[in-house]
Amino acid sequence: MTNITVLLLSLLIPILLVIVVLFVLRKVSNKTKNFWTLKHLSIGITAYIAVGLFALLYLSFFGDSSIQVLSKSELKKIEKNIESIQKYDQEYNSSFLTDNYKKKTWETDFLGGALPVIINNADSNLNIRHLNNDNIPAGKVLVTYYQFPAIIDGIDISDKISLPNVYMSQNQLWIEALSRNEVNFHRIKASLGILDFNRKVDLDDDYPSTIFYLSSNFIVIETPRGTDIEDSQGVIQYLR
Amino acid sequence: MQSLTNMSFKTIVKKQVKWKAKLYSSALSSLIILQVIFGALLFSSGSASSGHGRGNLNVQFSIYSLDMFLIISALWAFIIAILFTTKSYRIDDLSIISSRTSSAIANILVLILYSFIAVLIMLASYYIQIFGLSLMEKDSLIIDKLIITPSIFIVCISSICLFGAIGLLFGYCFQGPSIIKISSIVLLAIVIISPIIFPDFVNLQPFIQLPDLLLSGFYVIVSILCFTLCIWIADKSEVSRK
Repeated sequence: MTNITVLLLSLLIPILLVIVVLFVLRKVSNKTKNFWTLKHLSIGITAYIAVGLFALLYLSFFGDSSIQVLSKSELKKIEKNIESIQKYDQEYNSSFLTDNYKKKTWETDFLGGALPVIINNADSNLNIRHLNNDNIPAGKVLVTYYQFPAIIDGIDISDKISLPNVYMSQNQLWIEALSRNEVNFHRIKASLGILDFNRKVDLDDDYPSTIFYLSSNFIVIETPRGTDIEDSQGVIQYLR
Repeated sequence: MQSLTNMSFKTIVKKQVKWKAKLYSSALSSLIILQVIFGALLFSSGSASSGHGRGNLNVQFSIYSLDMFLIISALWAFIIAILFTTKSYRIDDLSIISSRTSSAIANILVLILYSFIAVLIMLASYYIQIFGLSLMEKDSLIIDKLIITPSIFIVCISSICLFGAIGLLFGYCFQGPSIIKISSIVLLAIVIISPIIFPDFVNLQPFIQLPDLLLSGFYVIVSILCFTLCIWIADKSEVSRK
């Protein structure tokens, strides 16, 4: 089907629905003619508009959203920050892993001088890094999840990204990314979407409203110096 | 004229507008019912949606804009305007002093008045829907823009008015002389068939990209053209009960 056929069909369906509803209403109104006098109709229409006005006033005063749309300057700041994170990561420098972004730490024990690591759902874009830590006693391992800002359409969704499962089993460290997670948002835009979309309002802006790099989250395995990591899948990178 | 009383044309039209605005007010209640039905149907999905999939995360945005309410209002105006020209409505004209021309002018003025009220109803429906949404989906609600801009308000009125004007012209075409009826059918067939045969022929992009006020101005000019044609056809038509 061509775009025009789809457009015609999408117009015809509402037209048919409108005709059906109007037809039913005409039939019903013949029976309720005595009740729906001009006075009652006027009251009904005015009341409906008044309810709409009340809804607008309520939303204006009390309808604050807990989710904030980031401003251009905030987006610019975040993008610079994420670019520097990528740069540090490429240089194997761990200084970007600050406590601000720490989400969760798992502490566990293992036996021997080497730690086998198994990653389930390796295709889920988890960034796994290994770091030697002199402050950790032998036989202990610390796994820390860091979440950096992830922006989609001007909204920071980093809080919505679910944490992976991390556990020890048979002296092996298992890291399991959770199955596909869906997040729904409801956006209020009191304008005409068809005009905004075709005028490409967002795309014309100097700054992108989506900043979501695959390196927005990191899992860092910290072991005592001298402990080897057995990475049979070849997905773990080392940091200094 | 049905009366020998000496009344100016302006007074006759004024009386007819008052009479018709009251008589056809049930049309506005049908718009409310239509808006409530479509508002309820689109309560969870909104007018549009967009999705982003990254890693194991899928983000869905349901966008609540005025589009669907405007489309419903415009279609309503189109159908109501056609109904204004049907036999049952024309018979009502016989209750008051009228000519075909004064009746056409009165219909046009009522349509313009109803377009304005339709926008108020449309906005009321939109804000009632958003109010319901704010109570049910508070945690996932993002308010980008709550108040409609005056330019969008004008675009909405002119769009509804334009569809009403096309509907009225469409209705009058089938009452006029045979030559107008035949040419209307041919024109209608061309309008429906040409986009299917020549999809590239129809390109609305340049119109949509016009600024809001310019777009409204374009709609108003087309509406005036349709209204003028309506008056001309009405003037040429014979007064009959058919």
